[in-house]
Amino acid sequence: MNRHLPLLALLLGAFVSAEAQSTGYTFFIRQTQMPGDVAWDVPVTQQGSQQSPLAINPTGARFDLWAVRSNPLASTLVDSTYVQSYVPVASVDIVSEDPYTVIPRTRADRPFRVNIVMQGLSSDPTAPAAAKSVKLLRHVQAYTGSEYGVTIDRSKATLLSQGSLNSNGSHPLIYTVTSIPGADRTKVKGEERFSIYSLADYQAPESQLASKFIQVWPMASISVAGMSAGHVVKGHAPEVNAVLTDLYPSSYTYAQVYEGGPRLGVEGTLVPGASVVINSSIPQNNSLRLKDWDATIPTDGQWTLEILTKTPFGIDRLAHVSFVVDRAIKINGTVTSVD
Amino acid sequence: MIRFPLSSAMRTNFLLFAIATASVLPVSAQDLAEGQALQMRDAATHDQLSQSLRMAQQNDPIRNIGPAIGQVEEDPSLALAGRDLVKDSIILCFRGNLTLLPKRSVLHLPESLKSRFEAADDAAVVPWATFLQNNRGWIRTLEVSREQAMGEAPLPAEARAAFETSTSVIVATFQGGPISVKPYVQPEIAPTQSDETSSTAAP
Repeated sequence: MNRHLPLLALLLGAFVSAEAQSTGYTFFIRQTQMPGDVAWDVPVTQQGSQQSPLAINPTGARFDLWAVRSNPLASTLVDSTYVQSYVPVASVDIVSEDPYTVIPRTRADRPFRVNIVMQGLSSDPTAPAAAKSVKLLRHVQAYTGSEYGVTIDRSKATLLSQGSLNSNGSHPLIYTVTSIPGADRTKVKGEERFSIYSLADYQAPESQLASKFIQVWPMASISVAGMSAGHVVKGHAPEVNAVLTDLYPSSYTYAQVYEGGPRLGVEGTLVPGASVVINSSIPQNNSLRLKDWDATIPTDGQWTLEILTKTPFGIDRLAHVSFVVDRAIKINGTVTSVD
Repeated sequence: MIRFPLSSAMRTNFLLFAIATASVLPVSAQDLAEGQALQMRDAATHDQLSQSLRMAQQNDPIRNIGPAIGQVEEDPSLALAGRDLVKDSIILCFRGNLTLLPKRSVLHLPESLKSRFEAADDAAVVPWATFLQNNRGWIRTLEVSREQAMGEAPLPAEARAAFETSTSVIVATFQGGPISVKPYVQPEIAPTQSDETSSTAAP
């Protein structure tokens, strides 16, 4: 078998160039001739793609991308793909509403789509089962405590569901909400992984053909102190403090006021100095402090204060409180005459 | 005063999902100032999401594409866990730099250089090509064929004789990349017809 197989280099190369310089990792691509007795470290440039000149065995070959860190010396398996002459080729892509490109990510309340593309599945009824069908696995794993996916043990992930694919082409899967375990569904955080595996046959065990995961971050929450519903502002506006938890990694959170009772969709007056911009890879905690904001509520009457967070998913109202401004000075008196 | 659209769409429908995806915008204060009309809503509650989860779990699309076949009781991803490139490699380390090679790729190791096969605590990991370039004084490479690496063809006798007396480390390479080399095993010669005839004819 003299089939030369494409390496993973293009995607990996981009990852290598970006990450190697910023994180101190060095990357290795190792081609292992199955059943695992000869290994070759593929010399690759940081970007681009190439054919592997090492023809694979009849039993296939596995391509692994490793990230190796210095001090302490440790390796992490970034990606792995098994190729063989009659084993099909698969790709997995996950799309969310967040255009962040480093890792697919979404929020606990938002949908995402998994695109699986299969090539090379045989329709010959006499072909081996491994040539006609593949397995699709869905794993979920929650991040606990202050974990954000960097050091988790992925062997602890839960295999939530599995199925089989036996036709070529695109297979879109739509998920309306994550299934990562968690008691409070608004605070779920973790990752969902979708993997394609070949079926075992007499030449090789079940082997990974493609895999991709999406990170799911919790919804932001808030606690407001300094003003409650029905509050009456007679002099200066009170100082209001809002503690914000789990702000989405790409978000703009702000306070606004408008006249009248609470109504969704109103664009009010921004409270000066009461906004937070987050541009990160993980959720953040922060706070808003409303101080000296009298100028935004100039007239007497009912007003509403809202705390909103704008993310790639839209604008969410985290909290709102209606209050009354009553600055008019009433003098109760009588006028009398001696006549 | 601008009113934002109050659609409650963007749920399960694929088309609406695609539209929502297409309408995703980078988030910045400037966007807000420009009055981008994003959907505004109250944040979803735990009860709402629990209901959504129940519906989603009843309609997991993976279960709809076809029943799992093969070794469904085993999780094949566990085979990937526990693998370690460092443990599966030979370490070369010298003057603060370190690289990894596949096992059985070092064809000759002089006694005097054995200390360079242990990792120093503060050594920086570098690619093989970089390490070789910086250490050509004591590392030589022997380019091998695929057949030689697979143990299907012997290494040239003159090459073996040369590196067995070498004072350098000899690393097998395939197109520049280090490669493990299986020991050559001479194939058994099948007996010929005449041999079988003569043997059976023997008394």
